[in-house]
Amino acid sequence: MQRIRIDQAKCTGCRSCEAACSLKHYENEINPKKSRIRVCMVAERFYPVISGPPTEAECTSKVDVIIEGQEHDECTLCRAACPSRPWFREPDTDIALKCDFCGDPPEPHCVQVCAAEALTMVEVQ
Amino acid sequence: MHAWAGKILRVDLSEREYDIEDLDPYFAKMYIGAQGTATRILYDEVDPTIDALGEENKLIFSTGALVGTGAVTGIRSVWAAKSPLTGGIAFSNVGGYFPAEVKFAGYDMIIFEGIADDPVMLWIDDDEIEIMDADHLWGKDVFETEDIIKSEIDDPWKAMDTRIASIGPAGENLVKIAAIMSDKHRAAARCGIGAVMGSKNLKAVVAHGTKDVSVAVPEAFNKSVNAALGAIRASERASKVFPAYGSAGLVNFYNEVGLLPHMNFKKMALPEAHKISGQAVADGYLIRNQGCFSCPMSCGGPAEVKEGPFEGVSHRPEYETHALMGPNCGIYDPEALLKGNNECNRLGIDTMDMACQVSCAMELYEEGHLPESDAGMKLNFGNGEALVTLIQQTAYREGLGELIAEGGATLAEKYGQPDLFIGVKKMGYAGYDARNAYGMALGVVTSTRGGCHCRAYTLVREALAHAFGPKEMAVDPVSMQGKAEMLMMMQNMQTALVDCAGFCQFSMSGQPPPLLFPQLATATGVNYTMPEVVINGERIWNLQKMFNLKAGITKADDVLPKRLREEPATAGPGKGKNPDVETMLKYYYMLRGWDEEGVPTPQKLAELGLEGQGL
Repeated sequence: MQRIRIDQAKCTGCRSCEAACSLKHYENEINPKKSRIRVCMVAERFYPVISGPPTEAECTSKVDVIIEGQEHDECTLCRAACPSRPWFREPDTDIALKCDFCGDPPEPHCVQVCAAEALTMVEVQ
Repeated sequence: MHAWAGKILRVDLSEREYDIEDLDPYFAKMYIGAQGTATRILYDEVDPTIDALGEENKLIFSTGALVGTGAVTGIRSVWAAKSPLTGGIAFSNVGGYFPAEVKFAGYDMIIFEGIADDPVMLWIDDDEIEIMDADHLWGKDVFETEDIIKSEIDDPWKAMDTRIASIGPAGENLVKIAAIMSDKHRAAARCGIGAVMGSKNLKAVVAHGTKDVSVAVPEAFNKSVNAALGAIRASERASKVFPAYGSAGLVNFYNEVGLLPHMNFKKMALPEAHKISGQAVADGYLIRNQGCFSCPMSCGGPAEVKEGPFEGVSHRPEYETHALMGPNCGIYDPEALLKGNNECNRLGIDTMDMACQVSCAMELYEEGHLPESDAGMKLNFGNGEALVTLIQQTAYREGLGELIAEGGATLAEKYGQPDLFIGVKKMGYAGYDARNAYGMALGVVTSTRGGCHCRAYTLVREALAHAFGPKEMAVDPVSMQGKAEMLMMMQNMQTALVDCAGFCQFSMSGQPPPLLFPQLATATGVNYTMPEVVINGERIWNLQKMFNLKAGITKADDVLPKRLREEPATAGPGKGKNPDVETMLKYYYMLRGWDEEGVPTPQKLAELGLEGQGL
């Protein structure tokens, strides 16, 4: 089974994945705000997040996580298209966006353009 | 339109009004974007003889045609105006994320006119445009300004997607070597463009955009992007050296071949250079890499000095800053370099011009022209603390900073030694000693914006091809043979196909022009041929030249600094010799279709569709 592996430390924040994703899913448009992958930038670190299923409601609990001394709102790293943030929803229509692996078999365009190899495809048993 | 957003935002700061105009498709095709479109608008709308810091100057932000499309390194854009430093045309190139955000908000260009009566910032949120008071930001440095603006946005997610360009105290204080900074560490540095923004009382431009950028032929575009990415992955320099060491990965090599300047261009090829190489910074201080929007090479990134007088987190400098702020100031301590670079970014100053002023001050001091009592400190070569102090003084026009802030030879003249300022057209000289690359000598002299190396990077053929290939591209660096032809071709091509399209020049080590052109053609859908694009570059070049001539910059200003003309090279292939720029220049003017005074002839202008634009 194939999976996308994200190596956060390798991400350079170039957002080529956002451009490639939107171009793949729309006829001829590039728009990071319509991308199913977003690069979250916190304190000069980059966290690629790939969208999962949408959710109707925000989480009731709010959670902070500390990673290597840096505090993050856990929502930052969450994959859901959720009312708490604008990501993974089309800005003009509010339609939720979910990663579809760019088809079956998967050939995710975000991985193809990731020169830093922060995104790779791995085969897992 | 495809690739282009199709809109120009025109802001009248005096009246605090704005207008949105359509970008004419024919105009876009001919002038492409970035410095091309900006050049034509400046040429048509700004009298080259006006006061650059007065109400009549216009400040233009112009995105490269491919910005936002995801073309490989398609992010580079310019800030343009009449330059308060050189008096000629100014365009300062910048990457980061800000340009893409402006494009996603729906604008190819922003034109600022007039002067606001109080400090203001421009907010662009798609169609919502607001000119807001920025009193509370005036006096703040670049980093504080970005942090404050972002903290004032209620929605943290929107704040993360909001990008800012601003000036620091240097721009506010009309320092003629001030930069416009964006994304904190990305500088539109040269030509004193930050002072133009300061003169308009414009502190910041804030952008957030949710619109689409479209490409004309998506499948072919995708193919051309993947072909370019493949070529970059296959290139050792583009995929390994640049990400690992930044452009400063070339410090050691350029030192060996006598191109890296030391001690205000007095010396070359000193072994100490390795201490301050890109490798030294990467190994000792780099935290991680950071790339501009849609760039696979990621030459930037935060770097940290953990303790000592230069402690702090800064950003990895590029080659020019390494060369000029390092060896050219006799500084071989990477920690002083990182601090100097960071202070320039924080205060909003061009690292290159700043470093040229410091190296000049140090030589004036060491030669006994500039007394310690005037400087208020020891200014010996290698004094990193003096470097940092001079940067701070310049931003606030204190002490020697008052003279440095005027740029050019002002400081050197005050102490009776104008020739110790190493520059062309009042702009500090780039970090390549022209005595070991004659094409670059001619290139810096003929650059339409002053002492600048990046209008045609001849070193690809004069130096890099010898060491890294392709061998058939290599030319003798210290021969005059064929240099004018080579330079002119590169200037025309690079202007149009690289700069105006929005590609980064660094990427050419991996994606040469035949891989750039298909990205431009398939994204815009314009039925270009490559020679047509190059002719567009020639047209833009001639307009820039005409602007400068009308501003009073003549053949007499197309000269190398005296030191490079008269003091022979001490090492490298040109050892014992000097370039004869005057001879090359005559031939260059002729090839360009200019007269002996370097003025475009009516025939040449007509050939380029610029009838009646002569002097």
